Amino acid sequence: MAQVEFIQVGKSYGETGAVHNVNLTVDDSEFLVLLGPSGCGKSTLLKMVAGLEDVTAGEIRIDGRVVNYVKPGDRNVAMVFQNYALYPHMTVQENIGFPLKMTKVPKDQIRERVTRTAAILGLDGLLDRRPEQLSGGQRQRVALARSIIREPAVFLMDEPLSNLDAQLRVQTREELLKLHERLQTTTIYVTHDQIEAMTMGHRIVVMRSGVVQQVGRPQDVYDNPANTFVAAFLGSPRINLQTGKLDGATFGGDGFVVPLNSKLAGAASAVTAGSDVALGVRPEDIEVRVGAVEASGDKIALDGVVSLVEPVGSDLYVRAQTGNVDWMARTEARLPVEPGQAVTLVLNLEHAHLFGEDGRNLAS
Amino acid sequence: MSDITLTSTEIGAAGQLSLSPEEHKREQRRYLLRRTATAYLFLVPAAVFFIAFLVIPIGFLFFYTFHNGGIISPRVYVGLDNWRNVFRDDLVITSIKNTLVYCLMAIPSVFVISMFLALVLQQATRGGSVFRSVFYLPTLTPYVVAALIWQFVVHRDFGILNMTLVKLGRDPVNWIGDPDMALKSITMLEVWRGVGFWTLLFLAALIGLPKELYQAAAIDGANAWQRFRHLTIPLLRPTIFFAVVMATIWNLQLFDSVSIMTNGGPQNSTATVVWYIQQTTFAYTDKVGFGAALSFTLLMLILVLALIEIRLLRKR
Repeated sequence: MAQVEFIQVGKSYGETGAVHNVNLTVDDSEFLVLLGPSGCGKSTLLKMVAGLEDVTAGEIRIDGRVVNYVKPGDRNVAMVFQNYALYPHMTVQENIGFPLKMTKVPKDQIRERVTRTAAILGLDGLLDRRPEQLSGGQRQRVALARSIIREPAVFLMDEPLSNLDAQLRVQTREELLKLHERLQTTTIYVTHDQIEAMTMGHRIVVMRSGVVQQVGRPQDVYDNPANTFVAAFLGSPRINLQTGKLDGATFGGDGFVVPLNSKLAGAASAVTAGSDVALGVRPEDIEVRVGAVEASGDKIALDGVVSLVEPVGSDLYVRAQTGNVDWMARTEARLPVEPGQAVTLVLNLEHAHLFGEDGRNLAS
Repeated sequence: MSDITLTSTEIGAAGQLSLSPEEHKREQRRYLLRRTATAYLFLVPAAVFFIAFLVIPIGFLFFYTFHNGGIISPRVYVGLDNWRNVFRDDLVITSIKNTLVYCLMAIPSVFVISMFLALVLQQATRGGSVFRSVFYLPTLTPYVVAALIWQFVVHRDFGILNMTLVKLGRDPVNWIGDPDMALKSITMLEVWRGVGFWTLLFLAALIGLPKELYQAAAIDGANAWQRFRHLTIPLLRPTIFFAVVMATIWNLQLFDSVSIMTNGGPQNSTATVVWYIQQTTFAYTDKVGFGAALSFTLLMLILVLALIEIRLLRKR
């Protein structure tokens, strides 16, 4: 168990910057998730902790020790790769025991620890098989076993679930959490999957183009996104972001007007009247009603026409047009609406946000 | 909860088959025949060359092992005489011994050097393509040219090797005139010529190895030697297997450099099997049958050694 600190960490390949000025502390026993789209620098940051990529600026410390110039094998970290990186010519037993063999641990100890680790991950009956004879989920567990056998200070996981099918992914996600609960090892987990990030991380770090956008507890980040990028990246379907202008206590969009509640009006006071801003309302904060509805409290009613209906089983995604813009609403699955139908959209502004011209949340 | 299995008729209404089972069988046979016929058609050119230039000549060769003459003198049937002579001739034993000794020196040397160079080239971030070309150049050089170049390297009086030795205060060596050194000199030339080819082969295989495995091994605490020993060598097993078998087959047929540089001498110290076959078949034309029997002996030797290697290397 250990604390990992990133101090002004940067990475560039020649002129191209991949990671910029990351300042972050991963607490002892914490499960921290690095989240972002492809190419945002999250894997690069992880590999810098592992020692697979050089740090070109700043310092990375593990338990107070600067590891910039320490070999990967001497950092006391273990890594699980996206494609598992199992040694194809070795049996499961040899794969799991490899890190111990490399550090010259006596054979009988290796055997004993391999047996114990395999038992934790339910690999007992598979020890003599080769990776090619295993399913995706089993390979994943072998990769995990190989990483935990050394009892490292830090676990690094690079999209370890992305090669599994949806059902197995959910199952393995739970197993990973149980394993973390049991071992309490500091873990840095990279993913582009917001569900994984939301369900697994004690805290998540949202990254974009090598820059940390926001750090916080998953629900806090979801409820209070720092900017339009974070707001749009978290949540499915994505948040409705409507651009418009502020006029006193109203937001004027393209063909519609929304009177602001006190929370948004407070945020709006940070900018001058007439400024370009964006109103963000999550699809689950929009109700679709058939027939007229009176506005009340935080709820604003807008007339709209349904343009698309997408049933996903548990919910119904309804796209409806108001003025010249589209709104996406996530409503109850069996709502009887169809394209072309006139409806009332009820926007709950309690969890809505106003973003300034630069994309920042005006409330933050 | 027990699994529920639906039959296709429960899922949807059953349709009617257009063809009877017999018709299905007939159509399937026709389809397979068409597919196989295409495959055979593509094999024809290779098969024609294989039969015309390999199977038929080997058949003729076997026929000649029971005869003498046949090129400028009339062909005479001699039964098993040629086969008996093969095992009685001292030079046959010497040439087989020389060929095997040469293989034992050349193959491990060329593989160790080539693997080392391939590993270096794999790491090279700059100038890799230039060095690849430089290393491959000797392989592209025609044998005659290579052997002539090498004569300037190993020449007793003005060869670069002896000039270097003298500069270092050592006695010059009679590289190709000394029976103890001649085969080693031939080996040096062959290694020099072969390094480029095997380096590129190993390099191509190394480049194809998954990078993540090496990253995982580095994190697992494996140092460079351990990564080479526990990852590179086992992962390159198929390439090494191919290389060992092919190198054996090629090197057992050593001829050109011997013919040009030493012509089997001094004192038959560089006489190899193919050189002796060439001598008996084309230098003394009445010994065509003996040369044929010797060729067959070499063929058997290559087959046996290749099979032993395949057996040993295929284990696991």
